[in-house]
Amino acid sequence: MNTDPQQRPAQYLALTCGSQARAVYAAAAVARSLVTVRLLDQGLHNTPSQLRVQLQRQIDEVAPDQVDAILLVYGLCGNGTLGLCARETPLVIPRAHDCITLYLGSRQRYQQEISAYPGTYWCSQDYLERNRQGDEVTLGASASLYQQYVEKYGQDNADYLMDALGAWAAHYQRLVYIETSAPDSASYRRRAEEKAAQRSLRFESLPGNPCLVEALITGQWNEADFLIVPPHHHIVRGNDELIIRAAPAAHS
Amino acid sequence: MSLLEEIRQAVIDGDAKATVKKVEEGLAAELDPNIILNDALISGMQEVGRLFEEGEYFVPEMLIAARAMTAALKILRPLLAAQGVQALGKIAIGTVQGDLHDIGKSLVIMMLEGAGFEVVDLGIDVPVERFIEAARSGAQIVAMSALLTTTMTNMKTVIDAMQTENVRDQVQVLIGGAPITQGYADEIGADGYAPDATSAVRVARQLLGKAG
Repeated sequence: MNTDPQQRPAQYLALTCGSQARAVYAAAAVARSLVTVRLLDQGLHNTPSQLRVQLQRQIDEVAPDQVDAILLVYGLCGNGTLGLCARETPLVIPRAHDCITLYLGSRQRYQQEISAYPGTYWCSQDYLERNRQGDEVTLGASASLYQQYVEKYGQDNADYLMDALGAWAAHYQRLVYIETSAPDSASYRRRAEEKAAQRSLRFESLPGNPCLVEALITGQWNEADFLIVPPHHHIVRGNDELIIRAAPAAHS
Repeated sequence: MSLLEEIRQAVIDGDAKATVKKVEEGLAAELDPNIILNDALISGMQEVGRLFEEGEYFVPEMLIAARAMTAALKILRPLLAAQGVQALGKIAIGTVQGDLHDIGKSLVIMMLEGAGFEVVDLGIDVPVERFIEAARSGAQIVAMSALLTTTMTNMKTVIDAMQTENVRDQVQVLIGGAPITQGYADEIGADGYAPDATSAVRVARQLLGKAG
């Protein structure tokens, strides 16, 4: 394979969480690099072990020399990306806890926000329009879950479970809608604002910044913001603010 | 099925009303409260824990079973106290600073109380100083939980502060929560790690030398 950048553009496979779909497509469309985008269900962070299995399967399907790098448009995502192993092709992943860092454009900005308001519910247009539960702003357990509980455990227990499982939402103070340049952003913002009012949450909208996603897709991987996982290495948790690091994988 | 077995089954089924009713029947029939506790309630929760570990039960089933047990405990507790039954130990528990997610903590509290521990609930988003204060106030175990990878590092902050404040040697530190692993517990110097609420009881017993 000819890897001279003067001769041909770099080729990447971007394994992308649905929550980042629009930013990734937008960046890929204008990138000099040739990017194949593959979307995965955005709800996978709820089952981190499933997220890991699905991403590793996608990584393992890439033939040696098929692309120059596999881009993971993910953060730690509940530790779902820990343990992911590069085969013959390097992996590149942003140093982030989750998609909010990718939406906001820096983990420092995310840290400031959650330090000020730990109880923040975040949403964005991508998140709402690709939600498996429909494009409603859902906070805590849904009405359909309640019906399932009533059928399975009886009304009394169902009421208790909704209280117990939804208690965390009661501790939340703020709902933030992350603005993007997508055409329907304003209408999704209105829905988010209505939901915040219903739940007596303070509403804010913050401007998104796709710079991290753009840098990832266009191959501008500075060490402070991205981890490059060389072949035969895997992703492990780091002890510092860089969040993750690469370590040699056990022979498998 | 004996009355004890019926109580045990009502706990496993998460039927709080039936559990309470049958415990009252048992007391009326002069069953020993301590036997009801151990052979029906705790035994039932052990079965629930087993079902959870085997993947047959999930968090909702655990919650409703623990709720049934807790409802029965309310009736039994004064009777057990009158019999002079001592708590197994004192545990202070909270979610670390920045973390507001307490489903797991609530479940662990119910399980620990059911097993006979005295539990001090420090609540959610607990600042470092309150964990230190709990250690000074006679808790034998300080337990911390976190759901988020952004907040779990505060467990290390607490343990480091315990060293600085010279209380680390007075307590055992037990940690748990979705992103936590044994490796992380070892790395930050926690004494114990529990992957779920059932294990929390087992590890707490081990930490206090009350294995069983």
